[in-house]
This record gives sequence, structure tokens and C-alpha cells, in this order.
Amino acid sequence: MVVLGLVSLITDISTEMVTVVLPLFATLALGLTPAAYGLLDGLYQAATVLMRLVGGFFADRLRRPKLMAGTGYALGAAAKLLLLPAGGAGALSAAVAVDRMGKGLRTAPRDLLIATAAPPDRLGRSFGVHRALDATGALLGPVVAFGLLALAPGDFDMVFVVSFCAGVLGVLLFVNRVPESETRRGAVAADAPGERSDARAISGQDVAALLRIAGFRRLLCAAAILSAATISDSFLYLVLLRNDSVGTRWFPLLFLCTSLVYLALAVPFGRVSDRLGRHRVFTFGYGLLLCAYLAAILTGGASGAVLCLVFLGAYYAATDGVLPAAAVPLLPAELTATGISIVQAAVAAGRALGAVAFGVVWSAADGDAAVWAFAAALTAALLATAPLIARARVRRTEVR
Amino acid sequence: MIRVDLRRLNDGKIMLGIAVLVMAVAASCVASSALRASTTGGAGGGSVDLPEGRQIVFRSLRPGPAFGRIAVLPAADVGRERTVLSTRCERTAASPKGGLCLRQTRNPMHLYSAVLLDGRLRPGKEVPVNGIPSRARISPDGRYYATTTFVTGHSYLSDGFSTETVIGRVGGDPVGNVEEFTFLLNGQPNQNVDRNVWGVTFVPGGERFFATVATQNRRYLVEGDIGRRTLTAVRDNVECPSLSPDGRRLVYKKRTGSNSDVWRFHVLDLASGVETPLAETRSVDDQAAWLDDDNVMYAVPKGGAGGRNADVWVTSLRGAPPRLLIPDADSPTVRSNGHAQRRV
Repeated sequence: MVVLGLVSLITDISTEMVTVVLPLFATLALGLTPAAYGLLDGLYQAATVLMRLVGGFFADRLRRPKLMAGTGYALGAAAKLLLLPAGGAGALSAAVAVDRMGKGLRTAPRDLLIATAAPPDRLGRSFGVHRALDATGALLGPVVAFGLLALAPGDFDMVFVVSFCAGVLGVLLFVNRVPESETRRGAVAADAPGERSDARAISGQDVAALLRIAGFRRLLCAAAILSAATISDSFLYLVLLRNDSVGTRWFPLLFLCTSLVYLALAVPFGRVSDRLGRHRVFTFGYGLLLCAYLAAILTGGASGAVLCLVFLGAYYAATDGVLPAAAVPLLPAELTATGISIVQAAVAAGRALGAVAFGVVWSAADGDAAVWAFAAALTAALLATAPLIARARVRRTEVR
Repeated sequence: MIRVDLRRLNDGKIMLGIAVLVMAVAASCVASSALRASTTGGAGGGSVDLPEGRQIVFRSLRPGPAFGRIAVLPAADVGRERTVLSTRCERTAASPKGGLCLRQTRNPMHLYSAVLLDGRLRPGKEVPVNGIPSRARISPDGRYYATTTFVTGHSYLSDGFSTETVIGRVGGDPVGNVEEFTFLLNGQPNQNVDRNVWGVTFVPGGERFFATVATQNRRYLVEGDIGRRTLTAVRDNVECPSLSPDGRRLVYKKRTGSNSDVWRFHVLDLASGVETPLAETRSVDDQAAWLDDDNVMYAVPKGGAGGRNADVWVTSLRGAPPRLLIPDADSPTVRSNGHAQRRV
């Protein structure tokens, strides 16, 4: 799963280096207004959520998570190539669509592969390792992109070619070095694989049955509710900006700081979650998010901003990999990818809802009031969901 | 297909070979691009002979080494071979005294900057700008310059994007962010926080300018005053004004149709308030510039909106259909070399 992490690292470099230059490319080279580009972007965020569900479902149905994830990685690489002749909004949106489709398709099967490769009592650590490498890639991507643009200002095509090459390397590494998943451990003993299970492909009814698993349903509800009380990063950065904690010129550093904290803490928090219980670390993560909100509004200056970002990075480290690690033991082996994709879709939908709500509150009042409102909402959500999460855990795989 | 690949690629050597090949492709692409960026010529700094008389200064988009560089043509003879300078820009504007170039820097913390150009269009003082260059203008007397940039992640409230417009004083203290000026709507100061300002055009010889203010999904033509730091709404539903050399007429983009995003150039006679549509019927997203008191020019992307290359077109106010003026070019402005500016 370190190999999977490396694949993610390379792929993320490839994807992120394009993501950071795409607004520049769209406005400068193609002459689109940022409004048009923003619309495009928002549209595809929604499409990604749908593709995640598709990717998860078919990974389970075809029983070939590696094929699904591999297709996703290949689509991601191909999208970079599509950008080369892009000469308009249509071509650009097609390339972005293919890229997001690939990202959506590969996420759940990839998480299934991670879950398969890890012993059940070290799931948290495994996801932590993967997320740390993933975050490293996301961090390096912009560095590489701006480095290349510094060598040759305005040569976006060169950036796209390099990104494509990195994407291809990721696919090669994935195809060659990641083993095809076997049926999950534990499940192997339960029913002999190959005979009965191959006879019937999973259907929509099985997916519906997932929601009848009490533990999974509780975790899903909790994750969705907490996500809806989440302020998106960019909004939180804006609050810091509006409070004059940081100047506009430091804007790129906010993202950097958050990512550094995230990748530094992802593995330790994963380990802790294996020992102390994933549900505890997950709940604790949202407590950290609450601290980030409070730091944003109660403290001022650069030190307050740093404090806020440290809390934000720690929140990601305590939730992003820990949530699937908490979900996997609750799921039947043949529906793991589907289950993971449902949780991720719920989180994404919750966050989208939260972003809209935050925008509305901010327009009606001001930034600080909106953060206060969300701090209150998050506190309420935590109080409501903490018992749900506590009851969702599986004693079998968690030590305490 | 993946399945076939899988079997073949399982041979480690083949995969290693492909990986090396891919890396070689990437490396050679970077190397050739960097080489092109460092060696491309155009004329070297300072030794260029600019054409005599009135010049059109623009950004050459001719594919190859000239792409993105400032170029000059005599306004009287645009069919001549363009003089390409060594400075690369994303937007440029010129006055008789000098010019302005918004360009990408090599510093990732400050990706874009505004470079002031001297009378012979050679680069001088450089100041950082926030965001992706959108509009550049310099006042006819060369005293003030204005930059508009798209700032991503600044505000998600208005149109989903945010602009930052800064007016600078050549050789003096910057005037600052125009967004902080007092915005007077119907005579009352307006306090909306989602205000965006863009597309400055200077009134010759004074401290005044015209620009666009957007707030609450409406766009206003405003008259600005640098001394009093005010923006006064004059008209709505128009954007990107450009003042004629004689200071009597404005050309701007006006939204036509009810809720569509179709914009058409219109000319406003400031004295009479009469507004006339221009013969150009395409929806062009550019701040027009005056070739002379009867003709305006603007860049039109090739292959429709969002094309990677553009041409400069010209339209007469007398109603003749638009015609191609300079192929492979954008960001055009006119400067009359060495001649004193007419007062209004």
C-alpha cells in the first residue's frame, strides 16, 4: 500500500500541477472569464461525486477494483493530453470532465485496494500512510508547475505534457506493481470465494441492504451531518484574509501550511486511531475543526492564522483517512467499495451544502458572524453525532 | 484493453523501458521549452528603431518566438512587417511618454507584475500585482496607469470571481486599490462589500477616469476622481469603457437581451447622452481602444470565444462593417510618438 501511495503521489503531482495552472490557462490563454471557469469547476465537482458512486459500485459488481481504479488513473492521464489542442471552452470542459471522471472512478476502488492490503487492526495506519503520500503529491504539484512556468513563462502546453508524462508513470507503476485485490481477509473464511459469490453480481438491492446495517447507517449519518457544518477551506482562508490576519500575498502559503500539517499528522493519527478507536479520533478531528473556527475569529494576527491552519490540517489528518478506516470493518466484503463510495459521496454532498449555506450567511451578515454560526452548528452536530459514532464502531476489530 | 496491457506490462523490463521513455519525453519537452524562452529574440533591449509618427502598440500572437511579445506598427501602414520587442507580456498599453506591461514573473509567490516602459518601450520599474492580468491602461499624459487583475479566492459572493483594480502614479506614490474609493450611487455612498471595479480609461490631462463597478449583480459605468477618491455611477448595464482621444465619446460593452451574457459595443456621446450601437455584432470580451477619433479596435479570439489566438479588428463609427486590422495580435493601443497631447 506504500506502492499505492506512491501511485497517488505521482498522480496527484500530475493532477495538481494542472489544477493550479488551469485558471491561468483559461483566463490568459483562452480568454474565458473566471466566472465561466468557476461555473465549469462547480459543475464537475458534482459530477465527481456521482462518478465515485459508479466507481465503487462497479468495482464491487465486476469484482475487479484494480481494473476500475486503473481505468480511473488512465482517464486522468488522458485528460492532460486532451488539454493540448484545447482551443475553447468546449474543449477545456471536455478535458476537465474526463479528468474528474477518472478521479471519481478511481477513488473508491483504490480505497478498497488499500483496505484489502492492510490487516484489519492496522487500517487506520494504512489509510494514514496513503493519505500522507497523497497530500505530498498535492503539495509538490503546484511547486513543479510554477517551477516549470518560471523556466518558460506562458508555456502551458509544456506543463500539460509533463503532467501527462507523470500521469502515465503513475499508471505504469499502478498496473505493474499493485496486486489485484483478493477478497477481503475474514470474508475469505466466511464463504468460499469463486463459487457462490461469482454466481450472482451485486445489484441495487444489495446497496439498499447496506443502509440497513445499523453501524454503517449511523456512521454515514454522522459523517454527513458533520460535513454539512464544515466551512470549506477557501472560505476559511477568506475569513483570515478579511480579518487582516494575513495579506493577500500570503494566500498560497495558507494552503501549503494546512497541507504540511496534514501530511505530518496523517500517519500518527492513523496509528492512534488503530489503538484508541477510529470513532474517537474521528470525533476528535471535528473537535479540532471547531478549534480552527474559534482560532479564526478569536485570535488575530499571523500567529492566530497559523494556529487556525494547524488545527485545520490536524482535522484533515484525523478524519480523511480515518473515516474509511472506520467504515471498512462495518461493511460486508463484497460491498466494501460501494460502501466507501457512499460515505465519500455523503461527505462531499454535506460539504457542498455547507459551502452554499456559508455563502448565504456571509452575504446576509459578515464573515465573523458566519463563522460563529458554523461554530455553533458544528458544536450541535458534534453533540448530536458523538453517540451515533460511538455506537457505530465494531468491537471486533478495535482494541478498546 | 487494460487487460492486454496488463499481461504485457508485467514484464518489468518493458515497463521500465516505457517509463524511461516517458521521462525522456518530459525532460526534452521541458528543455526545449526553457531553451525557447531564454533564447528567443525579437529586437534586443534599447537598440530598436520604433516606427515614426502614430504607432499601434500591441501584443504579437504570431506563433513562434514572437508569441506574447510587445510589437509596434505605424498606424498609417499596418500592412508593414511588425517590429517585435524583447518584452513578453500578457497585457500591454502605451502612451506617448511610455507604456505598461503586465507579465508573468519567475517568482511563484508573486506570479504577475506590472512593468513600466519608458518612451522607447524599454522595461523599467516593476511592481507586483495580485492575480491574473485582465486589463492595462496608461493615461495619455503618461502620469497614471491602471491595472485590473482577476483575483481567485478573493470573493465568492458576487459573480463568482473578483477583480482588483489598482491605479499607480508613474514616478510617485501609488494611488491604491480603486475598490476603496467611495462609490456614489444615486448621490448616496454605497456600502456593499461585494464591490468589484475594472476597466479603467483615463480622461486626458486631468485626474478623472471612467471605469466599471459591479455590485449585487449589476454593472455601472462610473466616473472616478483620483483626487477626491470617489466613483460616481453614471449609467448601468455597461462595462469596460474606453474614452476617445478627443475626450467626447465613450465606447463600452453593453449587455443586450434580457438575461443573456451577450455584450455589444456601443458608443456614448458624453455631451448629448446619445448611445449608438457599433457595427460590430459579435459579442466581444475586450476593452476597446481608439485607433483615432472615428475608429475603435479590439481583439477577437480566433475560432470563437475561448480561442487560443486572436486578431485585432477595427470598426468605424460611421457604420462601415468591421474589418481585420492586425492578424495574430491583441491588447492594442495607440500612441502618437513625441506629439503633445490635445487637451479636452
